[in-house]
Amino acid sequence: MVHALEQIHTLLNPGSYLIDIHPNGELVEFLYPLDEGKQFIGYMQETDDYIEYYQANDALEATVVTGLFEVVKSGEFEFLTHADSFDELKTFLKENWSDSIITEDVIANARRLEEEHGKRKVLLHEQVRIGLLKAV
Amino acid sequence: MLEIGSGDGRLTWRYADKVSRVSALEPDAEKHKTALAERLRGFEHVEFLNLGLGEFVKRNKEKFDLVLLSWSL
Repeated sequence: MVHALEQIHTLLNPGSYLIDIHPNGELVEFLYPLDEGKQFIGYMQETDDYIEYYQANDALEATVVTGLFEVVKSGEFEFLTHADSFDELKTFLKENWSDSIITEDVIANARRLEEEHGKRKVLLHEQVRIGLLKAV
Repeated sequence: MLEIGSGDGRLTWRYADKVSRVSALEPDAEKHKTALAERLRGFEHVEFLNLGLGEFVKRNKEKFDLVLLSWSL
């Protein structure tokens, strides 16, 4: 990853910018929105994507330490994926997020909530880091 | 502007009208095809390239004002 950032640095004019967006590596949550608030269903597991997110953080920090980039701004935001039902979200993840794992207890929780409240929208919540870096 | 890992272009279309020119790299052939197929009228200044970063760096001779990495580092 540091090598990729070094390559990117060669593509930028001095004083130009890099925007990096990637999940912060915390567990991704399945949420069931109810009138009284969001009900937590469970966490999505990943085989190894989360390791790459921490490696991305380390790589960015390394390029700041070595003086390739300086951090202008950084922050986090919530990234929500909306699905009309838990099954629809499962299908979406199977097709688009090959690293994702939904455990049996999470599926059971989702089924229980659907039995109690009916089938309704389900959210997938990721916490995402965003950084604006200036090429030195 | 250079976007690295532009996928099917879903983010590209959200900002492309705010910049003068975009080169968008996507090494996955299927995603690249989708991005080309979904090009909107008025977005001819967006160039989609079916390349990874390493290959692009070898061929490229220009500099960019802004690089975007979205879920791609």
